[in-house]
Amino acid sequence: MATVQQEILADRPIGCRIAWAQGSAHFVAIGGWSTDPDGTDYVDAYDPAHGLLVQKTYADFVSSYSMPGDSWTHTYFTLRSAGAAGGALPGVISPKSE
Amino acid sequence: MAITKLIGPSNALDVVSHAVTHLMSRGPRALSALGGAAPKASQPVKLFVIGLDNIKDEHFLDSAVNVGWRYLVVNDGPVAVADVKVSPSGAAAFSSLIRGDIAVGLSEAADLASKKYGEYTDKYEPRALDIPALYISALWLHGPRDAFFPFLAGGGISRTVVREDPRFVKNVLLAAETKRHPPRADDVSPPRGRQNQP
Repeated sequence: MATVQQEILADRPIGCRIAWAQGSAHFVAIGGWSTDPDGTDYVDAYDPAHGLLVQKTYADFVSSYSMPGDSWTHTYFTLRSAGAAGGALPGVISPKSE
Repeated sequence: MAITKLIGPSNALDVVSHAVTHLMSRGPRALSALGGAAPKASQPVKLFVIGLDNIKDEHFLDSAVNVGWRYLVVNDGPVAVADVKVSPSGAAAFSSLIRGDIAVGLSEAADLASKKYGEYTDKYEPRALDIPALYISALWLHGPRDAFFPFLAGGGISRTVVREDPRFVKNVLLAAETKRHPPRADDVSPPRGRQNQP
């Protein structure tokens, strides 16, 4: 969760590969995070499968995206574009297994 | 009513309310943009998920896993769905809030199902069915004859028009087979109007 917080605070969305427990996989982008007053951590995932925003507990995002056994397998970090007017230029550095 | 009204775990509404209040204060369509009124969670349906590997024959619904409950969150219309899971002790724990077309689709599917099956004498249990690998979400009326009202199919880019799909099982089987064995690029016929020249 600390890495997610660090990247989002630096305006760098994170690409994530989610492997479904029972075959195939899916990609989403984390664009935000929050912690509620009880201390539960959430991530804001932009998920094209649902069209807008999936806000999920961090624990479920890691290991139970749709059902137990789904897993966050790879992370794609992004770079901010030096010349872009406020926009972040996605750039894969390297996939990192969680 | 022939569509059974289900009651979720005893603490689920509190769990959903707590999380929704926190999460909807941020991001697109935040509470402030909705006028600040408190969103409400509707009557829940059981949430089932099926994985691609289990879609091999027409009996694939037998392998659907009940992963929790799904609540429609309304605030002057459907704005999100909230999913909760249930611990072995029976207590509900919040899992996710999904905003977007899924809420409108589930609401329309529930309305249509109620109009069509609400007065039947047979009893139907309303279920939400997600098939993540195929990007399919549907309302599933489980009863003497299962009925399906898909509202997301092939991703959220364009929500499908909600209607009952009597060929749902066959369509899912076909989609699963296509996912496992996508057509090769050289199997695709050239677009109409463009033919190879001799």
